[in-house]
Amino acid sequence: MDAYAATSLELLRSLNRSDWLPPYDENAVETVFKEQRTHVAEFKALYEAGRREVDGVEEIEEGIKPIMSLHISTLHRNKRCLLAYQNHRTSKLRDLRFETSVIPPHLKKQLSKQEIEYFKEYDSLLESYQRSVGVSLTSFVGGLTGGDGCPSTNMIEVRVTKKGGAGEIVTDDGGTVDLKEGTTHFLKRGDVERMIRMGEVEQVRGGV
Amino acid sequence: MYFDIDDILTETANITCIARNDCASLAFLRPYNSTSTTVSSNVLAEGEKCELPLWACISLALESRFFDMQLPKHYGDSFRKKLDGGGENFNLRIKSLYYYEVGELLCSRIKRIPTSRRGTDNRLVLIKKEAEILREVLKKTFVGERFRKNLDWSLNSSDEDVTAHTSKLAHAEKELFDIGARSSYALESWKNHGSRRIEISSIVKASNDFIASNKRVVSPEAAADSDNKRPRVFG
Repeated sequence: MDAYAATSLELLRSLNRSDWLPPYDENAVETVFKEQRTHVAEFKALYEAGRREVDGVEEIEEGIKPIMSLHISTLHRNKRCLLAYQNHRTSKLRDLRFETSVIPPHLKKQLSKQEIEYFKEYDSLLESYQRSVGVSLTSFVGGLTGGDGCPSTNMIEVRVTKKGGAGEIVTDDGGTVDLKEGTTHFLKRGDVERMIRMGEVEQVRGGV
Repeated sequence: MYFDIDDILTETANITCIARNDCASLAFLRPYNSTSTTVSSNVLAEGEKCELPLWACISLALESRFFDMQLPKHYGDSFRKKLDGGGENFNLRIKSLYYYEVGELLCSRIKRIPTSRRGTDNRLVLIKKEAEILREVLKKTFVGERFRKNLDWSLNSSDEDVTAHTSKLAHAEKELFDIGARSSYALESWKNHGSRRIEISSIVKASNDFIASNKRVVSPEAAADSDNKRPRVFG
């Protein structure tokens, strides 16, 4: 017996249970498409079986109208659930672009190929817009989003927390810094803010 | 809103409905413990009760009139009177997670049904009256003592265990509480650090915590238990 919109609801519940996004459930989405086709087929069968011609006017037998109506409602319900599922995921991707600028590697497996493509295209759209208006929307320092305003100092102290170190970075004034795990460095905000957001280094508490 | 997940989940609430005529092929809606017999086992007979999720109830009972609906008990007369008398300590969450949203949706959809149909539909007239009263009670409850208490807890409990309070809140109230708690935390954070601190992204932090907690092995019993579920009809 068909489940009426149970699969599509479970997709949405999985979004609520997850901290960020669950892996894209290709199988469940396919199942919902199959269910939709079943509902359409059953509706058509009911229509063919229930048609009557009364005084030249085509009518449907009263008794089957409720089940036909239920099939239609379920089609609409499944559609709404699937669209909401997709909409929620893509809106999280757009938020991610503002949070971290790249997809953190361990989150990539939660996304479908199309979603990774969506992120790339959104990224280039945002970049070209920012270039054209000359304003950074994603800076964490005095940006239009994500920033709290101007800080009192340009230099911050950071400790490297990423296992195995965070590699070598090139600073704005051309020097290189080797970020070994556990080491502390005094660097410009602009050089390290992205790494702090990604969790590779942390700002030392009580730093100036 | 159409894409809003909470609005979609609101419409999963179960509503008791009564068939107004014989409904072919809807016998599966009969509750498991039903003892009624009908001419054909495939037909839900006139007068038989069943439970429909709100999304199906809206189209089958409110837009089309194949079914009559009954307001759930927690929106009924006796509960409304208790709420009216001061429900600041009631556990609304246990009655219905989306207590306010379901109530408001029912009221607005019931209001929309036109009454100028041929013949008097007494059940419809009665339920419209009930919906009007329910709407007023919901409004009064939401902005009354419960709101005041919620506001107080959300802005002044940064270091306390709030579960005793939040476990009784309906979804809409919990959302307000969360907004208040976040604002309160942001203010404290700003007072302590100004704008000098950059925080790790909440998405990265949450997924790091998730990965760390997921490294625990799931027990075979827990895995087997998840298979023993009754097949569901409605989503």
